[in-house]
Amino acid sequence: MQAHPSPYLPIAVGFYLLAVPLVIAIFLADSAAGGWTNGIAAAVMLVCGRLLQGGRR
Amino acid sequence: MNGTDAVTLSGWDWAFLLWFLAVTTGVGLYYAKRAGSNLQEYFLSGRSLPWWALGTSIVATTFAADTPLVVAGFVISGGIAKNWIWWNFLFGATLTVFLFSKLWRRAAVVTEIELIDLRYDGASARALRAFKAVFLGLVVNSIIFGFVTRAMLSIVEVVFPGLDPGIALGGLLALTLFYTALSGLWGVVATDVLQFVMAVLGAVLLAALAVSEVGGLGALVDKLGAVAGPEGQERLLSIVPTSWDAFTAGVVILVLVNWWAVYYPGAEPGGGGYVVQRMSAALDEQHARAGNLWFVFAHYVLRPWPWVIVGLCAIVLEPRFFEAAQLDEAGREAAGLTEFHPPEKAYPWMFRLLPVGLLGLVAASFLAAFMSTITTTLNLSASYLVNDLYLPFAARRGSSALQDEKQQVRVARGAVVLVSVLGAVVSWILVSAGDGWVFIMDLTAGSGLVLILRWVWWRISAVSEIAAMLGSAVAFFFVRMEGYDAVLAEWTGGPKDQVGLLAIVLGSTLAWVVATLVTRPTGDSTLDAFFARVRPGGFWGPVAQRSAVRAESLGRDLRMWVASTVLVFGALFGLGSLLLLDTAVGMACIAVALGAGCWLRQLFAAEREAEAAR
Repeated sequence: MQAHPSPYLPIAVGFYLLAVPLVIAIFLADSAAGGWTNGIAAAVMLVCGRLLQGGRR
Repeated sequence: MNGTDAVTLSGWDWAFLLWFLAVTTGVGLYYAKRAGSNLQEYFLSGRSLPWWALGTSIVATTFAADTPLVVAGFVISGGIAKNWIWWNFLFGATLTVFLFSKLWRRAAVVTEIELIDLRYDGASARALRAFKAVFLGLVVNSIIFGFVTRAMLSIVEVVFPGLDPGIALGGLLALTLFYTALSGLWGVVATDVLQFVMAVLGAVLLAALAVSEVGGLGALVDKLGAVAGPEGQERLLSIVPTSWDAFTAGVVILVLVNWWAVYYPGAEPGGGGYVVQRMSAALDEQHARAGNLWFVFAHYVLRPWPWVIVGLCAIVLEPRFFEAAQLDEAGREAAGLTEFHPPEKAYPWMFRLLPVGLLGLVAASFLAAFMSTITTTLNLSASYLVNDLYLPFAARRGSSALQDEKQQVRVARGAVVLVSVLGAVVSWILVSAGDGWVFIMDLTAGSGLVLILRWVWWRISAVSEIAAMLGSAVAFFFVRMEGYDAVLAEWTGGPKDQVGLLAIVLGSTLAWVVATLVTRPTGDSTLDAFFARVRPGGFWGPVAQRSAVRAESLGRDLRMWVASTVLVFGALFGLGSLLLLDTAVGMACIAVALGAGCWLRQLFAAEREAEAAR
């Protein structure tokens, strides 16, 4: 059987990339809600990316 | 401010949207080379999916772009209990998890239709397989494609004002088709995972902001009473219908019949469609079952509450949505509330609470929900057309295509393009977004029981399935087209839709039972091979007697079904009740769910012991 690199890595990279504009939006936010909601969203994306980065098959 | 006021996306939100599309496409395309190696990779990810990926992919596919709008609209027009319209499918979903997911994985088929070749024999089986490949691959999936595209068209008009909906949707479809055709199932699943996290995150944060705007959960409950009155408040918040009326009678019929009778895409009795495709793509039987269970939990317990909360908050923040939903068309016109109808408008109306950045994420999550449904529909349709139509045809002709795996993938990619073109045509033909669903559900009502029984009763044959489908179609013609559902509803005093459903199911059941008993059973060699490969429990009489294989315990699997159903319903209602500050009911439901979970654990242990002794 042909060996493949971990198929989870691109998903992890996808999460990291999606977190980038959310992190920037924290600083663009003009309200307190804008800060914490974008912060949570970015954090969740980064955690998902980290979890999948460590995935093996 | 009124019901049609649009929320404007900032430049940064638009940037997020474009960034999302670029990332999704990039992730999908990464898998193109791998998908191009052979059909097992293209349609089944090389049977290497872990439970979390396959379960997440199923749940991402199951909700289309308009699902949050529909659920919030249900809450506004009929209260939380109106969700029983889809909650009833939970009984069938857990049945698939515990009775059939392992069997599907053991069958090692590429599509649900391929099972026909393993389970039945003769000309009737060949005809059934070819018919289903065309019916599911072209007709049903084109209708699904058309349905979700039409719904997305409406969403584009509301969420992205200023964009030409036709051009915007055309561009989105072209991009989705591009990476779906190239990337195969791994690309579909990988983008599904990204899209599901975005969609849930966006919904949860919108719900949190909505509750904050209302003044907290306690204020939400109190203010609902102020808007709707004490009786209205009880009706809005109750998780079961509060009075006996036509809706409640309809719910009872749905709970008793709908989930085992109707071939509803994503909730097929005994498993079907993309649920089977994901289970077939699992690493092994345990991953297939665990992934399917994760899907059921995420679909029924985690997913709906943010949408429900947003719907309730919309009632408080803009009571005219609620008022409009209580009136008929003439009443809405007289009261000047037409702009606040249908109640599905309330969900996007709440986007005005979203800050820069998060608004882009939520808007992108709508694209994500749409794209995840479309990608799966295209890949699945192509799998039917290639695996169940093209390859059997090529085999009969002795074609060299059977030896050329890359040629097969090229055919599969062509099939994806074909289905997308047909789906686009259907979406223009559909007069209203609801037509497609109603047609599919009614036309197949009554065929579901055969799809369940084929796993547990040796006597079911290809003729049974054919008779069930023909019986449904004939009954559908008389009941729906000739208007006998109205006559029956008047005669019985029940709701027309559900009484009509019962009549179709009855007609179909009579047809397949008679056809099964008067025709010959499937041949011994086919049944023996199927039994040895799949080891199904149940009523296999002479087949089990001839075999040395030890079958699954149907009794234990049925107990697992009961335990898991109680577990998921308990968690669903417990979480909801706690969110709405009904602490006593919430704790009681959670306690029931925990008890069911302990029972399930004991059953798992018993299953492991039985497997070890095998």
